[in-house]
Amino acid sequence: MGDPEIIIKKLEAADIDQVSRFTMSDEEDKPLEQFIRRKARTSGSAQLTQTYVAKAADTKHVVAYISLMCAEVRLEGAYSLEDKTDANRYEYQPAIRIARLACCDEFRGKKVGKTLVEAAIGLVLLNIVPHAGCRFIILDAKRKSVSFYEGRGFRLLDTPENRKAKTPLMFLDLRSLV
Amino acid sequence: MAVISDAFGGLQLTGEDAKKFRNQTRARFKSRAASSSAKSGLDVARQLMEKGFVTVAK
Repeated sequence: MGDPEIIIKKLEAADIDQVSRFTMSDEEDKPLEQFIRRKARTSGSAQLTQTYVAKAADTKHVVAYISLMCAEVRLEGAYSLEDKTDANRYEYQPAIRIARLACCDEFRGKKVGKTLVEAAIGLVLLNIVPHAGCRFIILDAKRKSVSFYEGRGFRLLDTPENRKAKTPLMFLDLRSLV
Repeated sequence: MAVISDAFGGLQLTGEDAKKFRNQTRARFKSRAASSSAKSGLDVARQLMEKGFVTVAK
């Protein structure tokens, strides 16, 4: 028997999208488990984040999610005067942050996270870039997830400090995609 | 130099981190992985916006 079909959608009320069984066994991932169980809806209502969920087609239970929020990248002291003719001179640049991405234990390895990240990239390119402007998608990756994000096209900020950070910064430059 | 993320999405880069970020994003960087992700993602996003959900065969 093959894997079930997956439905991707925006997180809705508890009687439609149930999160109470969302479980991640790794202690490092417990904040991600608690966020979807306790905070994702209120964070969405407060317009702090918006969460998209994945469910197996035949259940109400959420098996993975991604939360997005508005962000900005501030570059302090990166530009000298000769850069002023360059379109890259802006000290503040708009971005969307992947605030959280999580997949419950039983759906690991089924490419659900890949689909959610691709969906997020598509949503930003379709709905934000043409209407409000957005240069980057950024995230703080867990070290174990760096290669996963590189496979989706994200780049690691290539400094020694960032490479050895607990949650290194990664980014996707949207200018190369429009 | 520093990479500072705040709770509300902001990212501040200083010193060498800021300069490296600027250098890494100054030229258009063509990535096959990024292009592939964008193509797949746009297909999903269009269906999501149209129907409110999208079904993905695994």
